[in-house]
Amino acid sequence: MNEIKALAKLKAGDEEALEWFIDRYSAYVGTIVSNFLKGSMTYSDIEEVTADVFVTLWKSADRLYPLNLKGYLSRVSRSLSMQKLREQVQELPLDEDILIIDDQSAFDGLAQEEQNQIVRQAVLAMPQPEREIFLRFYYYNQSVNEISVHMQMNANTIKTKLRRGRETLRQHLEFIHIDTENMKVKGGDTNECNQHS
Amino acid sequence: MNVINIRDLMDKIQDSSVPMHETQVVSADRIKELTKMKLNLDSSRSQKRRMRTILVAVIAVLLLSGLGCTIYVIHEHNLKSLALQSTATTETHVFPALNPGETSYVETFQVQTISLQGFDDSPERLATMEWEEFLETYDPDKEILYSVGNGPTQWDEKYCNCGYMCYSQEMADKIEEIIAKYDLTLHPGPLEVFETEEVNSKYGPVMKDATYVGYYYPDGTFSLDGDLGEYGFQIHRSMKGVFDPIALNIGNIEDYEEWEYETSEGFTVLLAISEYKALIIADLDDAFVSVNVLLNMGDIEMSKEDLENMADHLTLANL
Repeated sequence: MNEIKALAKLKAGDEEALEWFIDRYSAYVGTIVSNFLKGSMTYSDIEEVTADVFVTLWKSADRLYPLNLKGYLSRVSRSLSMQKLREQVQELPLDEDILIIDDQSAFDGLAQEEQNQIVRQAVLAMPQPEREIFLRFYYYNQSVNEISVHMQMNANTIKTKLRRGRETLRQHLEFIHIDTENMKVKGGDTNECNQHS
Repeated sequence: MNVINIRDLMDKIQDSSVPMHETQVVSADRIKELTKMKLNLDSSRSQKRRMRTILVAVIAVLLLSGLGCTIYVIHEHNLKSLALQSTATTETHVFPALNPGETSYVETFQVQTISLQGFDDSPERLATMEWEEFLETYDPDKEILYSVGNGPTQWDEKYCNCGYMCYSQEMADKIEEIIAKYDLTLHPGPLEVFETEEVNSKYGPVMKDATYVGYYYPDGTFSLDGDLGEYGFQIHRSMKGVFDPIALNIGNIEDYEEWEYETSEGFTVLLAISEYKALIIADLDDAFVSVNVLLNMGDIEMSKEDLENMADHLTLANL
């Protein structure tokens, strides 16, 4: 079986396809969920949220395309973990999580899909290993020390690259403006964002 | 000034580019149990196959030619004439330690894939080789895939929904180039799911005394996943003239014992067996049929006689 076939079976309501996805991705999903919940939640919470990811996969199968399902699962894992955390833990954002951008930026006024595309482009604009460090920290919720171990880099280097990543993101969001003549959204740097199809 | 929380911003993207140091934080069986409980699904139905990890696939050979059952002999064919690489390569997988104080587990395994479309210079096999070579070097960091995400694309209807991995114009162009070069066609429509009764009503029993579930395309290409007694197997039927780029990793061809066998129906097939896998392969007039017997799932042993017995259960005339 491959992912395309497994997804087709899942869409048809086949339980074996669901088991196939769980066999293949439970370690991946469990690891991401654990990144978020360890320390503040119980082991059974981690199991519950991991199972919820596959419940979401089952219920959303009809709307999914056989492209980058791993990415889809990582996003759902992250989203449900954050939701769980927000239900039980009220925390003020840390300074390192905050980005301040100019009022002139049109980012807030963009449609959801356009915002998504701008953020995707901003992350893709980061050179490696900055991008991986940025994603590990902000997307996968790994600590600087964990990243340091996984990537075998000095913790101070990680912090420096995170700062650069934040700056890249800020620049990207700050320089967005609407080209009213051509009705196109333009992002930071020189990249023009296509309207999402 | 606008204040934005970067972690909230990350909700807007998805990623699979970062290599995760995966650990078995959760038990797959426990997650299956919980997930099914939340979905109110009955888990007993598929309990029998729970042990099966489903990996790859298949190979078998049978011969047949319609109702006349012409015997097709395959003296010159063997697994080497199916191989997509001349030799096996060794890969290493590190399983990280689960708990502090434990050491990680390193497993080394061999990789050699075979075509499930035809022997030697058949256009179907050459097309698969070319596609595999293209995929090996295309988008190595998956940056293009990452930027596409999981949303719909313009290539879904023609390619993705018909079983081809395609998420860029370059991939679509390559597929078109290959089918033109080897005079093949694409699967005409999306694959459909069918179970034992439906398979039997469409083709007659494919494997006597077995149960199976599978997928088929309107052109007649199909894959089945089933059980015959204690043996789990996968059957793939690839129609001639169709671009059906499925490959099977069999480890190392040198580890297999191969021989020809004439089934009780009078078809000569190629049989091959190793410690982990057994194969039955048939190059028919209209299709290439392969059976992959999964021997690496638990304490299952298969002798040469057992494999010949399984080959006798195949009803090649129906294929």
